[in-house]
Amino acid sequence: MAFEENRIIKTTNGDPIRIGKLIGSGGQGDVYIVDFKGQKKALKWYRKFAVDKDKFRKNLIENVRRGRPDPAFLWPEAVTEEVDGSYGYIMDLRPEGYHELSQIILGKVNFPSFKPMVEAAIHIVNAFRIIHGIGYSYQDLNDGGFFVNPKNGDLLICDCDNVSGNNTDLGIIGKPRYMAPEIVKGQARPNLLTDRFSMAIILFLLLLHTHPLEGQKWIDYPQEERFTRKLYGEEACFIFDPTDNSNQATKISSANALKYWPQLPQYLKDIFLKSFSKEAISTPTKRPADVEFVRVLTRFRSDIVTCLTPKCGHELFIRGTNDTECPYCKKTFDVRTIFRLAEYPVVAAKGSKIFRCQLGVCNAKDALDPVVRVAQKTNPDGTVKLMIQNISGGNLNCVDTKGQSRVVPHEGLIPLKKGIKISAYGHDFMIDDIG
Amino acid sequence: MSVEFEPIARKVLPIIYVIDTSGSMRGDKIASVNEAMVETVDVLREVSRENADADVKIGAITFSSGAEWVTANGLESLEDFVWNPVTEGGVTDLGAALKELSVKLSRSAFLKSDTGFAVPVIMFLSDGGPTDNWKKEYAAAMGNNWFKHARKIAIAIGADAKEDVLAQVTGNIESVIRVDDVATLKKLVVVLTATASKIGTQTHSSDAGNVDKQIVDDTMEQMGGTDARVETAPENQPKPVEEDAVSGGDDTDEDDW
Repeated sequence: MAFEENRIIKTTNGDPIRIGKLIGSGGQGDVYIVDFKGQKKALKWYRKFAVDKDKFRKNLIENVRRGRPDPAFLWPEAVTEEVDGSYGYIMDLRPEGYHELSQIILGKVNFPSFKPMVEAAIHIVNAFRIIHGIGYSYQDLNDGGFFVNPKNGDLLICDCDNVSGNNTDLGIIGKPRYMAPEIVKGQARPNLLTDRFSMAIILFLLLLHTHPLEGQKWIDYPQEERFTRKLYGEEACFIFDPTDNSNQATKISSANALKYWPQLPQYLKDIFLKSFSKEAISTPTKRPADVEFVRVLTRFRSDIVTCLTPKCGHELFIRGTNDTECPYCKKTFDVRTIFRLAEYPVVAAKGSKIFRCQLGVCNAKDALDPVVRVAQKTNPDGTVKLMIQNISGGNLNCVDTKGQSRVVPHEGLIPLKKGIKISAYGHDFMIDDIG
Repeated sequence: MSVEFEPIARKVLPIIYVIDTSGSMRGDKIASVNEAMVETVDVLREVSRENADADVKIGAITFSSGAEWVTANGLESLEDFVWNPVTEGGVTDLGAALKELSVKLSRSAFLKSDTGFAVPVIMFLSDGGPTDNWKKEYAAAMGNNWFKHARKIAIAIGADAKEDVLAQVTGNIESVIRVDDVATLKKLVVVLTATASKIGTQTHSSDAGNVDKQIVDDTMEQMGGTDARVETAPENQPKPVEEDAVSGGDDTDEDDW
């Protein structure tokens, strides 16, 4: 059924919802703009149920009760009464500037730089770390469930109607090409570990615009149930599997990955090699934990720099602090100054940022709190220099090169000078030169 | 500067229309089909742009006294495709159309692509009964894996359409949708196309059943939102032709696709 504009329906609590324009239709339902409690909201209305309608409704009501786990989720805020045998739920509208991940993968929407792309990836991982941490699984990760703002990497996750307690079987199994192999093979139903596999696919697609399981075999096999069961299930094999080249990356299936994979730092390759290893494909518990992805991706963000060669200006990925060659102009990227963190060094280049999770263990909710960034300051005489800026929202305690303690307020500047020590959230890190 | 990627590789999803242009289609019926196809091309163009899972292409063949491809050069991309109205006249040589499908659904004919193909969707539109030896051609076509595994759906137009024949061609009576008025016919072609072309882009449930049935069910559900008079054919129809009689054993070897 389709609603007439201005019709009033009610939530389970009896609150009125005024129906506005139909703004979208999907496989299972329609989305309307509605007036709810004086605000414009979105109403997702189910046209049909492929799953147990009452169980699904109960789960939705429970999700409303538990509340949004993180601002990244377009979370159900209220469930409606039944009208003509169906119901819907209220959530926030997608704001301007956000695009479906599928449009990004198709190349219709581009990121202005790799940094917001990686930030979007970090937001995805962190959001799943949060819901997994409180015992939920999302169950249906696919390219239609994410809205990304390519300018800044901000992320919104929709379709939160499937989110439920880990191992709860709502009857949803997921979207082809995104399901974990054990679901494709019919051996498991969605859970936290299948979420992780799907998430790794999404991250690989986002960062490399290539599906990690679609190599030579994808070209050879027609897209038909028996073959897709092999490709994504029985014979699932990573396009860069070092032990098995039967499904290796090809120029046709994997052009983007062939271009960018060799440029990636080893730690980033490693987490994908682990996620899509034979072992992790067959043994779900061997898949990297969400927090491992948070750490690797925040480190990767720090390793994206802009080539300083005049007229080049391409972004490149630091693979070692003093031996990264720009793949475009072939000049070695000159690293002078680094932040020496507990686990690894971070290049102090324009745009570099340190997040709280890079300093040491912290809660998922705090992981992406920024601490400092490297900004360019223009002197009165027009010359420019790089400075460290406190963007932590509070004071930072520093020790200068003479051993003097200094307190730097939020937005205050710190010189980029070897020997300065910065303390934040109980962890210290140093500014250092490369030998 | 922005991050530069090649467009992601997609399998080609062929959507093929097999259209009855016999003399009995004269008047409203053929006009309605032509109008529907113009709209359908717009729908497919939109789907093709938005679908990250498949690159949708169109094929069309008409049959009357013999069969003739509308897309004689092979499957067409939607970007530049324009529907030129087809005209009616002649008898109903369904077998000739099946023979053409069998010949052209091949890697040496229409199915040429670097990335390969998704199982085609084939939509039959007919208002009468076949006038040639369609059973022989059907049996031959079932030896072609692309035809055999294609998602075959039929629209039976009016009371004279042979639903039992269409049920055998599609392999399932539930894949035959009967429509009795031209306004509904037009809408049905468009809705069915939109639904079938998005197959594979949607979340599955554990008890979804077969895909052809899903396409028909989804289509009927959407048609049901209007005053359309559409019905799937009743259950007590003849069983489809026994597949194994013509196709041989298991054929999971991808080389012969």
